[in-house]
Amino acid sequence: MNKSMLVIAGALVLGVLVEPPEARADVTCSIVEIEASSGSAPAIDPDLKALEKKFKRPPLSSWNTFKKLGGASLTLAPQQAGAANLVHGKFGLLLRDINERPGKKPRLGLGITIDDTAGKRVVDIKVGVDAGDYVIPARPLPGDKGHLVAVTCK
Amino acid sequence: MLAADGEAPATDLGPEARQTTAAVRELGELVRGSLELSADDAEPRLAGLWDLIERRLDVAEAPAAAPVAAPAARPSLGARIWSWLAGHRSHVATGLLSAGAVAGLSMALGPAPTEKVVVKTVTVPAVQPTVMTGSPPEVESMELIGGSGTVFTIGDDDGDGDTAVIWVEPDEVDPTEGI
Repeated sequence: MNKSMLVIAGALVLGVLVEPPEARADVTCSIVEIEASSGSAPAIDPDLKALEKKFKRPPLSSWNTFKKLGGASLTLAPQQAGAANLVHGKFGLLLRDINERPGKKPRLGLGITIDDTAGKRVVDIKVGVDAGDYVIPARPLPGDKGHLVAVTCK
Repeated sequence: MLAADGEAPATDLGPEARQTTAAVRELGELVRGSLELSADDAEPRLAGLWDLIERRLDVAEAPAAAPVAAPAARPSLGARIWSWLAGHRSHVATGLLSAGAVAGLSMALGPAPTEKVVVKTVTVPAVQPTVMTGSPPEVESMELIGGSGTVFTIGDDDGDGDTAVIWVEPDEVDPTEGI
């Protein structure tokens, strides 16, 4: 074995031993689980202040009480998936891609899944959304309540 | 005549010849003295003439020497300047030293430079803030198991971005969920 072969073998060993650096996580997504209902007096959880104006627009204006059930934050890189447990099931998020556009907000490709408490998938959507905009999957719960999951990524 | 010139002995001469010889000799003395006086009178003029001849001889000798020397090439301007500087090295050095001394003295003894603060009002054109335009959310695919869906878009009326509400209506609502 001559010297050049030794060098090549060493490089291969180093390549195996040294792990490649992790992909840069550059998108942080905020997930807020909300329970909506109708009461005698409107009530909005102070933690939901950022969504207050949205709640007053249809179709969310059909409820007047919004309660935060929980929240999670997922930091994702493109083609990376994350999950968070909900009070009413399980939430899955996939960051499919990031489209940087000059003069416009970055466009994010998201895959959103929601499973109910029984583990049954009730929502599976692919959506394109600008960074900072909200996507709110909503479904009814017994008792004329609503189950909302507000998702925004930056 | 031979006896008068001293070429023949005077003993062989008669009384008459002796008188004639004495007269010739006396006449010769007179002529000789006269000539010597004339020569003495002409000596200053002859001396000036000799100087003139000598100077003319010097002038006449100079062209004769020229063909002997090799014809010298005309030096270039730079060479002439350098030659001049080399010839006047001491003058140039003295001039430079004097100029340097004067400059140093004027800098050392002169007034210190004063700083001037000039206040100018510059009008900066107003920079328009960059507005990042956006697009409403767009549902590319929706898969709902045991239900149907409706997409509502809440516009960006308040400047906080668009919102997509995806309302999922299941065929049957589990009566136990959420209780």
